[in-house]
Amino acid sequence: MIRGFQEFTRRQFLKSASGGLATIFFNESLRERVASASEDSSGRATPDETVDQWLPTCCMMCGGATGMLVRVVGGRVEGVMPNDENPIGVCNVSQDYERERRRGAKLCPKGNAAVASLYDPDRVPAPLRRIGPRGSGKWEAISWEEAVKEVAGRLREVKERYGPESLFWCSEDASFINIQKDFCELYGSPNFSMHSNICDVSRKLGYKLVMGHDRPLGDLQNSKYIMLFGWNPLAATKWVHLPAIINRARELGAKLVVIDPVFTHTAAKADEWVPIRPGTDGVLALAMANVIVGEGLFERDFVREWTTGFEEFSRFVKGYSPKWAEKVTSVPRETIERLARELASTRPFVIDAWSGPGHHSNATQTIRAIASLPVLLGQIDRPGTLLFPERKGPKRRSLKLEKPLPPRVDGLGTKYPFGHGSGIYCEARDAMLTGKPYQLHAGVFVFQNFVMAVPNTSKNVEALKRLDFIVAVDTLLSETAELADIVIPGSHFFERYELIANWTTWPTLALRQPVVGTRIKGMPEYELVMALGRELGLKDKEGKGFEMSYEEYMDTELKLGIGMSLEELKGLPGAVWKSGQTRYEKHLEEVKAPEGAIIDEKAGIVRSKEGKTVGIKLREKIVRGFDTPSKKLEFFSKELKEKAFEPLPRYEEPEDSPTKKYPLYLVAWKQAEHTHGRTLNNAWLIDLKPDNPLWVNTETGKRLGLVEGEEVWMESPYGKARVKVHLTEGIHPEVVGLHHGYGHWALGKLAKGKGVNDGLFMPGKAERLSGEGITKEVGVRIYK
Amino acid sequence: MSQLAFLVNQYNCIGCHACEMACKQQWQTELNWRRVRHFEGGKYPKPVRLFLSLSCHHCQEPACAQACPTKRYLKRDPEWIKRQPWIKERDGKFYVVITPTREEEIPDHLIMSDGRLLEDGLVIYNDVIFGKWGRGDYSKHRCIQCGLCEKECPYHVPRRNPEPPDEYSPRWEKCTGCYPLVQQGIPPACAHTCMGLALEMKPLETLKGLTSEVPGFRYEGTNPSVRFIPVKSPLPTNIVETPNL
Repeated sequence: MIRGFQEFTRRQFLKSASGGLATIFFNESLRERVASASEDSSGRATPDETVDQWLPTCCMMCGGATGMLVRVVGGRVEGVMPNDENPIGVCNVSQDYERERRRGAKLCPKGNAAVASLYDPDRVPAPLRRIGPRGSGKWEAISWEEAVKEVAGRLREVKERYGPESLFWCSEDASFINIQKDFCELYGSPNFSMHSNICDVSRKLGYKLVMGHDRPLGDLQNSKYIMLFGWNPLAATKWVHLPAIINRARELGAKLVVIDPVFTHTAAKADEWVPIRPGTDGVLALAMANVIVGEGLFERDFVREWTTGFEEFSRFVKGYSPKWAEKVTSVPRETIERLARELASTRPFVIDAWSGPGHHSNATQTIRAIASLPVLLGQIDRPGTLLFPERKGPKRRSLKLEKPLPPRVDGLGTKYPFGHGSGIYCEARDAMLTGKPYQLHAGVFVFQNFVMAVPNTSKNVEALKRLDFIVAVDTLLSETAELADIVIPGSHFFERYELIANWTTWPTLALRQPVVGTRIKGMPEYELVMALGRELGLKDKEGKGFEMSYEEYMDTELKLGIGMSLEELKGLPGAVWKSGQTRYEKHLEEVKAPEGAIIDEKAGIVRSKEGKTVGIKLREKIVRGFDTPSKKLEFFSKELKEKAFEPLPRYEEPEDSPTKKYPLYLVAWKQAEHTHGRTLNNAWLIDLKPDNPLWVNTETGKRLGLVEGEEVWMESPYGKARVKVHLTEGIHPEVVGLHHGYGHWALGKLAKGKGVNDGLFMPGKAERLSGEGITKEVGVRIYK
Repeated sequence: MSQLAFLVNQYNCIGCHACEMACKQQWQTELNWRRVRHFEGGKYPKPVRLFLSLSCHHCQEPACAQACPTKRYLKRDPEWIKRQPWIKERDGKFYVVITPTREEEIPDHLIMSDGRLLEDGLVIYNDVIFGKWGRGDYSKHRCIQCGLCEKECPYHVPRRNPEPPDEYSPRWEKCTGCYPLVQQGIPPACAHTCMGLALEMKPLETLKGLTSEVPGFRYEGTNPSVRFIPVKSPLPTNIVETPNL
């Protein structure tokens, strides 16, 4: 008896079948389809054991897209291994790549467990049509042809009755975005949205405003001092190489300082953990700036030559004394002063911040405050500091629309002039409920479990119920899919294509490709989108529509982007294209002024005839500068001022701080075992961590009379639930928190009923500058 | 190649469980042959959290091999093989003597390469055959489900698989050191995937001077081939093991 995944799969399937599929009403045809799907997975269909290959692709257990080799035997996935041709999983700087590569690429636990998701017996086996009330779990299986016809028909109806803008479309951000954008634009809806606005868009905006680049990446390996504000890269392991390069820096003597209310696994590895009150990171950063400016420790020449607004900033930070900051942040004054001096006396260093401060109501200004520190000390785009990645990727074809798109429903571009292109989920959700500025009627959710992902779960459920027609595309029957009218089976990443050009500091582009035939016996989602487009007859003025195959579409994107065909990319070692190397201090590179260029003598800004800024004059030379309006690093933002926002990174108390009635901060974090809420039905991963108890500081627990492991009520103004208590020394005494992603009531048999969903307790607001969903800001009370 | 050993770097280990999952997918096991354990201690605001990734220690005196009544285990060490009265060599072939009347031939490729006995010291099964890249042939296993291997191993490494895939599969299982990979010059799956650079397999002789005890692992005899790089800061006295929380 050869033991392989085929047996694993068959057994898991039988177990689940005998366990009863509680909420799904299976009619006969669906039963047949499930049976045939499992037959497919057990490999009985094509058991050609002589076909034994390692195929390169990119992981998609999260958006990190680590390089991966997949062993396929007889049409089944039998194992995975890191693909060291792909820098993602090795390191993020080209100069280190060859050396690090010899020490091996990596995969995280989720990537290693990918096969358990591929053969998850709970996968949606066929297109489903709801036949009971919303949430009843009663479905009938329909054919793919029927599904396409029905979805297209309903979308046509919505468009004719209510106008195309009444379609809300949202997707995860790392999958076939361009074809979905094409569809929305040709349909006429401006409301294409994606995951980023519940991820890191406050970080993006904060950095963009200060530095002109919205996605700087730390050259951690070559750094001597790493200070992280609310970032947990050793456990929230999106980029698999980060633990390796951080540990390499630690081995070489770098100091790691983690500022976080929670003693995360990253804090556990740090030389110093600085517990802080949630949402006050900006005050800590400004108090450090106060010390650095006050003691004259900043880099004078760099600041003079390359920044704007230093005068205003230095006056402004006088108001942020370490003594006052201690009261706000709970970080001792001496610690603040010492950290500031350590930073100022160490080169090179990386300061970075992500979802901790990024998920608060004051997030953008907080990130700006934090970003001001490396600016003061000139630690930007040099080896061992924050680098500005250069990216070359697939390029979306341009479409000529019949008429301009109507304004968006979520206020992006109007109420949110600085919002991110991914939209504003919280506002779209509120528009579903209020009908303002207009009523949405249809929703398409592609790999986006909107109900669980967007803060304020109860509101999300109510909002979705207001839509007349919902399509959910997902591998599992998520909480969002439960409310849908039509569910389309999603493909696993082993079954589909994608082009990935992110997360390194030099241009690289990797191919995700189908390594096995699809288990869903239908079409991958991009084919579905194109089929819908064809069914609806969507075309632009020049007749561009969806008449090609997706391979041809990708081929066009690739040729436009890097001048290479899909076949050529496939033929590269590891199916990865790498070009040039990481470049530093790109702002100093000389540029040629185009003919007729105009130089603004006062600010030194060089503009083309068309008014586009091309560089800045620096000592008789024209150089590139930074991609900000002033071409310099901006302590003070004129852009913000012009739009009536605060131009300096002023601290404002978080809107939803604890109150007398709800006295404890609730925060959430991620760990390596899971991605958001979507890997919770992976048999291997849920086995690693089947629960997310509420962390409570031991002293706080004592005061409240809590006992380790007991179940208590946790309540915020927006929701309450039973939670299991874990008493620990590893959390700020005023804070409680848990691992995000648990608390499913759908998704699959293994995910269901495990742990608590933090989104339930959240107000569900959007950050006022970036539009990011605020997922870590609320007060709660705990009682028995 | 001399005795191989796992080098576990507790200073680097981030507790991510990638090693555990890599092992699982490589050999397609139900049981996690490798396990990452979690420990906490200290006092706010200076708590301590530690992780410890362990599997089989490929002991120089493997107790499992002695305990197993059907002699399923085997150490790839010529000296050790010579010392075992229950392993017989005949015409260049090796046999396990299970009872005076029952012998099983040890497939050559399990213990030999280029006509010479392998010396990597890995403790493997002689009744389960693994392919080059994964999947084992368990059909000839001799596990009689006595559990003596687990009981006699001072570290209780072999464990009972509560859900073997079928009635023909053995109940007690353990890590094989990824010998099919190691023989190809590839690190064991766990070390290969380790994101934190916290797990390696190295010749034991190159690990001289490194500690063989850390919180969560005490030396209990049988000369385990595992060494540790401990965390650098002094540890508090109140360290306890916790579930993965």
